[in-house]
Amino acid sequence: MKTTESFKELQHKSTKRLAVWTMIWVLSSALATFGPEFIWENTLYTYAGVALFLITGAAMILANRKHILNLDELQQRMHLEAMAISLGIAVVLGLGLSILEQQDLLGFKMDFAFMTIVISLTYLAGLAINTRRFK
Amino acid sequence: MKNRIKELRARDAFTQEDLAHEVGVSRQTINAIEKGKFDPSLPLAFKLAHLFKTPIEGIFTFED
Repeated sequence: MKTTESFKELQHKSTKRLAVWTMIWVLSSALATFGPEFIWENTLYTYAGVALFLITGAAMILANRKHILNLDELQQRMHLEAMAISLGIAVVLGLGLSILEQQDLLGFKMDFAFMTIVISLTYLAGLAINTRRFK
Repeated sequence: MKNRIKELRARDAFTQEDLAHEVGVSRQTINAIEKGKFDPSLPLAFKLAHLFKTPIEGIFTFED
């Protein structure tokens, strides 16, 4: 039988691993974005920067998967519900804005970064609501 | 589903943290189960039954 100490240790470890990989991924994103502008002029380096970005992104995804699997059943449910809401809003809102953009009815230029912010905020809001709900 | 977790926990002088420690979940999960906000999975219910030396049906009562 698992103990909470080991459960807590496991959670602490997987949270730390996820935080480290997220930080590395953010740094590789900055490198891939600003490298071609401020550090190098060689296209090959840009490809290498994007490759690094993709590799660290994959590591972050795997760390997140492991983190979710290490949660207990209530925590997993809370995350699952938050993900369902977040994904749903991203798809519906994203397609809605895309239709408006196709018809030149959108007042601003659609950017994927905008959707990333929407996904992050709705995920956080879903988690906050669920944390309060099961308190 | 109703349950007697709080009562059995008091009987065996466990805190929520102790109980969470014993069955390998978070204290929040024990609290949510006690308050009837969350129904545990069968494996977790068996762990609780084993720990309290009480059959599952002696801990959980189904109600519509």
